[in-house]
Order: sequence, then structure tokens, then C-alpha cells
Amino acid sequence: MGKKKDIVSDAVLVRGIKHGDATAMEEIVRRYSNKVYNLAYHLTRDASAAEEIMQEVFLTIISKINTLTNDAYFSTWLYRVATNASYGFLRKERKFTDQTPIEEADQEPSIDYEYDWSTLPDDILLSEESRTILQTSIDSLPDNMRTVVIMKDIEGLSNEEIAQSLGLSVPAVKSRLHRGRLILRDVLSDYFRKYTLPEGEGV
Amino acid sequence: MKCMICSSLFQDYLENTLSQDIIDEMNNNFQLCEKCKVCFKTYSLTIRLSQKIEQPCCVSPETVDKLRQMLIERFFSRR
Repeated sequence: MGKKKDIVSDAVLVRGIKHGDATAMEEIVRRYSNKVYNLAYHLTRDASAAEEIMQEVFLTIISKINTLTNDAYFSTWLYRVATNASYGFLRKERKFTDQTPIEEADQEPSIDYEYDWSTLPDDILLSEESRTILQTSIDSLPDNMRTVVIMKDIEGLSNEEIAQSLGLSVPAVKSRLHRGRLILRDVLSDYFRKYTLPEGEGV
Repeated sequence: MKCMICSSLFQDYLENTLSQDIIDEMNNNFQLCEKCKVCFKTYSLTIRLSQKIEQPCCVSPETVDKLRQMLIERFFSRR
């Protein structure tokens, strides 16, 4: 019962930081350092870059905390700063390209409805090879989709948090997510197909 | 229900944000259309596999300590 009382909201901590409370800042670091690091790592796939980005993000947060007008939006602001810093790193490394907004792309991922690989055993579904295929496919998604898939399916953020963090509408987030997932599903369908083909016809 | 409409509602179905009549319509469609049913099953499984592939990674405690120190210095120099 006492535990719930101990949980201080982000908004209260942010107000504390604005008033010079160093312990509030330490609590924010404790609460969010892993989350920021994970997001940066998954976006950049570079552990040392993720550490630098994490550092940069918290320095930015501290220096600009007074510009945050709605303290309740702290986490989405933090994720936005982290995403932008990760994009900045990728741009420098020339691994990020601004692309046509996904909503404007008219190509719908193909939908292979008929092959049901959901009944395959776990040792195949979760094999090292299938993980690598899926990981490579996520890394290969267009940046706009990749970011949303990582934030939603890997980091577990809500559609609303992602929308606020990326400055998108919720429908735009859902559209990118759906298209990204369909692409990944297509890749997995192609990959798992070999497990049902007659011997000699597989990959 | 058309297959493309059914497919476009997968997310909302999974997040339980649809009205009951739409859910009923989708469930009915899954009974009638094997393609939609398979597509939904593999779509859902794709999400679950994506959630599982990433090993949780943690920043080292030393790095967090270093960051905390740096922020405290910056914090007090700012005031």
C-alpha cells in the first residue's frame, strides 16, 4: 500500500528540476536512462553511439527543461529528443535518408494470405536464423516505418506516445506501423515457406 | 467485410479499440475467409516475434553514474 504513495509522477519531478532539485533530476535519470539508451541503441545499432546519445539527451533536457510548457508531456519530449539525436547520428553516418512520407507511398506491401506459418514449432519460429532474418528486415525498413516499429513493438510505447514524440498524428503512426508489420510478415512468410515445401524445393 | 478492410483493422482488433459490432463482423469474417484468418494469425505472430527478438540491453551502471555526475555539475553550474 505504501509503495504506490512513493511513486512520484514525472510532472512532479520536472517541476522539482525546474526549481533546482537535484534529487528530482537523479530520479529522472534513474527512471529513463535505460529507456533512452535502448531506444538510441535500437535506432542506431551502435552501443557506443547509444551511450553518447543518452548523455547528449540528458544534457539537452537539463539545459532546456524550462522550455517544457506542459510538464506532463515530459516522457514524450524526452523520446523526441532521443529520436532526433539518433537521427542526427545516423545522418552523420549517412545511414539515414529523409524519405517520401509513407502515407504518400502508394505501394501496398503484398499480402500473402494463404501460407499459414503460425503453426510451426517454436524451435523454428524462434531459431537464431529466423531472429536474424527478422532483425535484418527491421533494420531494412524505411526509416519512418522502422522508428515506429521499434518504438511500438520493441520499446512498447503507446500509439499516442509515439505520435507525440515524433510529431505525427495517431493515424499516421498506425499507418506506418501497419505497413511495417506487413512488410515484416511478408519477409517471414517467404522465409518460413521452406519448412512446408516438398524436399528439394526449399531454399 | 472485404479482405483489405479486415486487414486494415488488425491493429485496432489487437488493441481492443473496436466497437463490438465491428469485432463481431471481423470474427465472422475469420470464420468465412481462410485467407483473412491466416493473414491475421501470421500478422499477430510477426508482432510477437518482433517483441521477442530483441535482447533487453542495459546501459552500464558506471555510465549512468558518470552521466549523473556530469548532470549534477552542469545542473549546479547553471544556477
